[in-house]
This record gives sequence, structure tokens and C-alpha cells, in this order.
Amino acid sequence: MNSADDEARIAVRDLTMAYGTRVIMKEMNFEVKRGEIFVIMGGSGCGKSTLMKHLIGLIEPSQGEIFYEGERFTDISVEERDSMRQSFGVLYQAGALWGSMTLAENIALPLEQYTSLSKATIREVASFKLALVGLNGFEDYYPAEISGGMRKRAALARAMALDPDILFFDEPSAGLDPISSARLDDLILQLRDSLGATIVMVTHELASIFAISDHCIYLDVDTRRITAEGHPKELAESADDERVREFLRRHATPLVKTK
Amino acid sequence: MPENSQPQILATTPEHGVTALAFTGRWTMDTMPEHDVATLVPKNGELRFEAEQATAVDTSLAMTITSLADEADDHGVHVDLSAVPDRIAKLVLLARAVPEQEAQPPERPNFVARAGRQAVALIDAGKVALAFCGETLIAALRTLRHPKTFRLREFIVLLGDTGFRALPIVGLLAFLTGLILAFVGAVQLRVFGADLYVADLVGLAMSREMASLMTSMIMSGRSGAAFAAHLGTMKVSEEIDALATFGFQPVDMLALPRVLALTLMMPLLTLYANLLGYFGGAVIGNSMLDISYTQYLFETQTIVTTRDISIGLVKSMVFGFIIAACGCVQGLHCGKDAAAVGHAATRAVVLSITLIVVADAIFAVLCEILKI
Repeated sequence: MNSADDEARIAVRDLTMAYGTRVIMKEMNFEVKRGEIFVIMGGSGCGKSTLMKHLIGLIEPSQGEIFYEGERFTDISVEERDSMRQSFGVLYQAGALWGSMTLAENIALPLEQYTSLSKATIREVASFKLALVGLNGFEDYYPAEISGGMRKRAALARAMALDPDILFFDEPSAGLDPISSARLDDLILQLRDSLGATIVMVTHELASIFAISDHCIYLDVDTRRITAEGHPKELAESADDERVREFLRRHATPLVKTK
Repeated sequence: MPENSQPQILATTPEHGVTALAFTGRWTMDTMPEHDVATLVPKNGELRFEAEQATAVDTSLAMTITSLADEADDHGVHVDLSAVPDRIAKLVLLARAVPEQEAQPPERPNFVARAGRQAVALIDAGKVALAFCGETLIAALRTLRHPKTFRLREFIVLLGDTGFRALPIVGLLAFLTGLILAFVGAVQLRVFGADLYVADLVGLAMSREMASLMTSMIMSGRSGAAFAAHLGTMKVSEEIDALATFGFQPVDMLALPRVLALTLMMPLLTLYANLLGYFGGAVIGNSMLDISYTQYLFETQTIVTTRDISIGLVKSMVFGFIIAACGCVQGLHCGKDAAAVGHAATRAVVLSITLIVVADAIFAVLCEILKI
């Protein structure tokens, strides 16, 4: 397929996102390379999370296409999409652990569905995944019984259940204290290096953007387009768009000039 | 003390094109004077605000100046804030820093349009519910082919929730229903000396109609609303999205076990409601009409046939399906905030009760046609 670069793990072509007639973002084009930590950033309400939902196929784009390794992901049957999604792991903003199941069962559910492992092995896998995020010993806790930060890590363990090679993170550090959020960044880096996964992250946490991201795109609320793309440090220095530089330097032009 | 006097705005006649508005007195929200923007603001020249004489207690002074300044802007009149205390001037500047957004005002339809939309929404909800029946059937077939995907433990918990745990309330209401039926009947039947027929009345009414109807009303408020709220909350917290990204069908995972559980439990609850209804009737028969319990039981046995009870049980299965389907559909189609979960629960109950009454009417007609 010549419309998508073979090198790119994910390729987005002319994507337009809209709720009904309200256009959120238009004419988006970008590629995510294998093994990259790719950050989608932008001000509040610009459609970052919506873009992620398009990438994982929860919302159909109103225009444009998405390719995974050259294979078309948009406008295909539910079965085809489900089979492509088996290589995805998604960490939702609030974790989205299934509340009626223990942590171990949360991780076991996809394993029971897609593997023919025995119950004992599945339990072992679940414990191992929990240990990876520092939650060994919490197998039989329910999501409501642990703290928010732990829930997020448990959700990460679940996202890794099927050894995905693309991980999606929706604001991973939202609601975490600086230390937990730095730990999560480290964890993400380690996972990328040890699993060789591609990581797509939605965030506006500057510290973590600079710490771990290889490549990022900036969604601009006003023009409804991607206005900058590149390595975050370079963008902070030399982005053409003043707003991108302001965003990355955490600086706002004052609304009122003091007398 | 001028500072404690009533707040006032004094306009001076224009001098070299400059109109001055002097603000005096003590400005608070409670005492803020009514002012006519159009007469105070000149149509040309310059507008100068003088507020050094005023004491501002809250933001009322800043609000007034802002609205006058905005009006002046509309006429292209230059605004001079140099004689306004710094604290107030900063507030005014901040309020005027970002021009009014040209946001499309959200649509606020009038009463007729709203009523129309509600009606359409109700019909749509019915359609969705119908489509859901098909989806559930497909889900059931799929689960039959892959029984491994059925989560037995959760199903058992659901059976407990929709069955065992409902026993006290269903029992109480069924007993009272039997009691009321018998009481109303007793008053009438005593006139004709047909006391014993109260057992017939209660027996037939409970078996054919009341047991299944009362049970389904309770279960609709209890389990139907619970299903809608549970699935709705799962939707809000993205748990349903998480299922979808792992390739699980929400209908298979969440709706099917609920529909099955309630459809299985409703007949059992109805049977139990029947017994307690008869008992309620017997209590009245015994206390008001001096019918012994044995006599009452014997009369009930003679008049109530297996067919009467079966009709009630078949109906209750259908009602159970309706309740579970409405609850699950509303939950799965819930919006994305807390209020939406409340609406989903309300709609689930209203829709299921409506559909149950309609279904009951259809059953009545069918029974009449089939002479059963």
C-alpha cells in the first residue's frame, strides 16, 4: 500500500474529527514510528482524548484514514478491528478497571478470552504483570479498595495483559502527585525499552513530555489543526507558532498589560 | 460621611467632547443603583470615569463601569480609566481583556419543540429496545457456541441480586396486594352472602394478573434501575470502552447475563408472590368473614388451575425480559456525566413500566382470543 509508509507503525491520513456537524480537528496527518514515545499535546478541550479514541477505533472519523503498519484500520468490520486491536493496550484516564472484578481477574479476563492458558498459568501471568507495576500482593483487591495511583498502575498492568506492541495512554499522570507521576514516567520508559512497544500518549504534563517523549504533535484549539510537530525540546526553542513555544515553556502572554 | 451615603452616578455635560461620569457613595451589590446605559454613555467623544470618591465594597462598581465601558466601545467612544482606583481599574481591564466570544448559543427549543422531541425520543428508545432484543439473541447464540466466555460466577451473583435479595420486598407487597383484594372483595361479596368466593377472587386475580404485575413493578424499580445505573456508570468511567478495546462485546458481557438472570428469576418470584397473595387473602377471609384457613385453601385449590398460574408465570418471564432489556439498553446508551446516569435510570423504569402494561394488555387480548 503506497498511501502509508511501511516504516510507520501508525499512519494518519487527512483525518477530520467531528461530533455531528461540530468539527473538532481537521486535516490531520502524522506518523508514529515503531518504538517511539509519541505525545499528543494541546490545550484543554482541543480534542486530544478524542483523537486517541479515533486511533483505537472507538469513534469513526468523519473523514480520512488510519493505518497500522500499512493495514487499514478505519471503515472495516468489527471482527477485523477486534483482531487488530489485540496488539493494543489502552490505559484510560481514570483507569477504567472493571469494578466487579479483582485486579487479578481484570488482567485475567483478556487472557482467558484470547489464550488457551490454564487457570493457574493465567493467575501467574496476572501476578507477574502486577509485580511489574509494583502491585504484587494486591491480586485479590477490588479496584475500589486501592488508591487512585495504584488503580492507575493496575490499569497499566491490565493494558499490558496481552503483551501489546502499542500502548495508548490517556493522561497517565493526571491526578497523580509529582513523585508517583515521575515513577510512572520511568515505568513507561522501562516498558518501552524492555517490551519494545510503541507508545502513544495524550498529556499536557510538561515534565513528562520533556522527560520521555521522542516526538510530539500540538493540536491547536483555534485553528483546529496540528500546528507543530517534532521533538519537544526543539519545539520549545524554535516552533514557528508562538503558542506552541508558550505551551512548552509554560508561559502565558498576559491578558492585561500593567499600567 | 459621603463614603457611607447611597451610591450615585453623576454625569457632567460634555466639555471639549469629554463626558465625565462621577461615582460616589458606598457601592455594594445590594445598593447598586439602577442605571440607564443608553442615556449615560455619550454617542461620541470621550468617556471619563471618575471613581475616586466612591468606596467599593464588592465588585458592583467594577461591574457597572465595565458595562458602561462596553457600551461606549460599541459607539466608538474612547474610555478613560485614569481616575478610577487601581484595584477597580484592573478588574475592569481583566473583564474586558478578552472580547466576547462568538460562541454559538446552545439551542434552547421552546415547549412545543421539546414535547415533540421527547415523543420522538420515546419512540426511538422503543426502537433501540427492539434492536437490543435481536442483539441479545445473537449474543446468546454466540455464547452457546463459546460457553467459555460466559462468566458463571458473576451470573450467580446476579441471580442472587435479582432473586433471593428481592424476596422480602416482593413478599411484603404480594401479601398486601392479596389483603387489599380480599378486603375490597369481602365488602361486596358479603352483601350477597357469597363470602367464600373471596378465595376465588383473590386466587384468580393473583395468579393471572396481580402477582406478575406487582412483582414486575418492584423489579423494574429495583433491578431495572440498578442495571441502568450500573452500566451507565461503567460507561461514564470508560469501563465499557475498555471492554470494547479488548474486543469484548458489551452486550455479551454485561447485558446477556442480566437479561437471563431476570428472565429466570421473575417466574420464581411470581410464584412466591402468588403464595403470599393467597395467604393475604386468607388472613382477611379468616378475620372478616370467618372462613377457616383449610376452607380457604380448599376453595383456592378448586378454582385456581395450573393454566391460570402458568399464564402468570409466562407473563412474568416476558416482563422480566422487558425490565432487564430496558435497564441494559438505557445503561449502555447512557450519556457521559453523572446526570446522564440518573436520566438513564429514570428512563429505564418509565419505559419498562410502560412496555409491561402494553404487554399485559396484549396478553389479555390473546387470552381472550385463545379462550384460556
